[in-house]
Amino acid sequence: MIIWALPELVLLLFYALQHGFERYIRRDSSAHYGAFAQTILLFCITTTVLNLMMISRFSANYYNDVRYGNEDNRGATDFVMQNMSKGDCVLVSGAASEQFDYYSRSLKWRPPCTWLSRWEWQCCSSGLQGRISIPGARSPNEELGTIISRMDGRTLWIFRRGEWPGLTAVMAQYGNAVTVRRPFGRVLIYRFQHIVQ
Amino acid sequence: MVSCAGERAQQTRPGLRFKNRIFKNLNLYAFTIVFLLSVPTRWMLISKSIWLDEAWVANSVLEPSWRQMFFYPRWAQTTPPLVLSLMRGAVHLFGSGEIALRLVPLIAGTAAVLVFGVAAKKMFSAPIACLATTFLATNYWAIKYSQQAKQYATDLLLATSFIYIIQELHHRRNRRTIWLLVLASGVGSFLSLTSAFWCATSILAIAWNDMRTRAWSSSIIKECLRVRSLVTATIFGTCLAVSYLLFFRPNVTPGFSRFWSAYTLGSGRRAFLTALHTFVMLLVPPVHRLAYPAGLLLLTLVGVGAFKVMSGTRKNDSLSTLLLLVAVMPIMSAVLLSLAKLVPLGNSKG
Repeated sequence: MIIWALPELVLLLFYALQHGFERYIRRDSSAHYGAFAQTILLFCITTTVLNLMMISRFSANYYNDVRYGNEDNRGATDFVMQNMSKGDCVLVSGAASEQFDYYSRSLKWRPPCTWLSRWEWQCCSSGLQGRISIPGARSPNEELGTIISRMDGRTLWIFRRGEWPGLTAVMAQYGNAVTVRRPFGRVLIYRFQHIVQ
Repeated sequence: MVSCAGERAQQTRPGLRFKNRIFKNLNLYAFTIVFLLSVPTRWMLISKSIWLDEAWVANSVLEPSWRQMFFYPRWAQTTPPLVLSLMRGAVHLFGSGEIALRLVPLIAGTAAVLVFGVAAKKMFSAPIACLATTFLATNYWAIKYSQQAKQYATDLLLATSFIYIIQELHHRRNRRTIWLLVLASGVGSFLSLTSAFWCATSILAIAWNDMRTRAWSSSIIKECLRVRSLVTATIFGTCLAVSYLLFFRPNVTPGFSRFWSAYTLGSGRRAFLTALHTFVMLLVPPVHRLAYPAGLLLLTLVGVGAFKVMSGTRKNDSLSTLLLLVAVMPIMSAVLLSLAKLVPLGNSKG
């Protein structure tokens, strides 16, 4: 958000540095200026080349922490699309719903059956009541239980952002085992199948 | 002794002139290379998969009607209307893929480097201006925001455009530049919410410019009340009010308000530290354990620069006054608006 302040900060920074540099850069008097100016200009070019080779390739797409992994939503949606069978359903978490929507539209694919989770919505989403699948769920586990009970033993895919701690154990309680767990950067795809006992 | 020095100067003058010409060209080459390299730097990851915050902007741009785009029903629409319109135009021309959606930020981010370079060259000596431009061109966030379907690259372009126009006004003082400033005020209000920070600066820039032409015989307050300043203030104020009341305010949800106000300077004791932390990370991203101390050092130098600007302005130093207008004033405006809980500064969104 404060990227607008960057040019202003840079101007103030180099205004402060200019006084230091001016000791070395004397425009009129010496050959000293030439050598120093040349060095600075070469430094600028080298920095930009190195920047092109290194930093710009770093593909983290988050705001303030460059260590965040990339979200490969396109890869994840494509993977679900390619591997989902006719009777399968996909449960999309709140934080992944817009991405899933964009890429299913972009891939011209309509998932046969979609559940939209009540949980993990970001600060600024709106109009949730008409969209989420189980509005009365009091916890993610309860929501999961309700979905499983309505699935009649069909396969459930989960499309979410980040890990869901204890998910495998919860699903095991409902008689489902994880058969696929695949990360696409920060996006995680699970496939759960009903175990016939 | 004196004549000897004079002779030497006469002998070296043609040589110096030649050298200066070479350096002048070298400066131009360096600027051109820095700018040209900043294009692929921004273009490189443009077709990468979009992420959450881009996805809802993309979905809103792809909505069937303009109304649904401006008042997206599934997310608090904080993207300025002109950015949305331009993105919709790009999608209309080039399809709904990632590249089309990111075209506007890419152009804005790249143009920002160019505009900043031209402005900096008129303020500092060529090597310093080139260093400053390189710093902006290679800044991690300036690159990343040029690759994301968000409004931040246009925020950057708006800031650099105001810097350029105001320094032009400072150097040329012609009517065309004033009209350019008025145009930037009007268009900028719909292009970026941060244009509000430039309102006071623009009015003061015109007033200060008028005051200089009258050989400092007038006071700045009197000049602010003259026609040109008042026209600028009215146009800027009206456009900002229309943009805010028509597009921004109807989109504000309670969740968004809570999120937004938590990062304003008026939200509590820690807010100032959070803001400082964000400014440090803006200068140097946290890629290494030494990055944070380096960012702190640079921010300290920024503080030294601001102090020098203040003291230079008192002495009627021209560059200091210009920097007061284009660098200190917008930040001060943002701080005041943030203290009034209107603008987040210590935002998690670098």
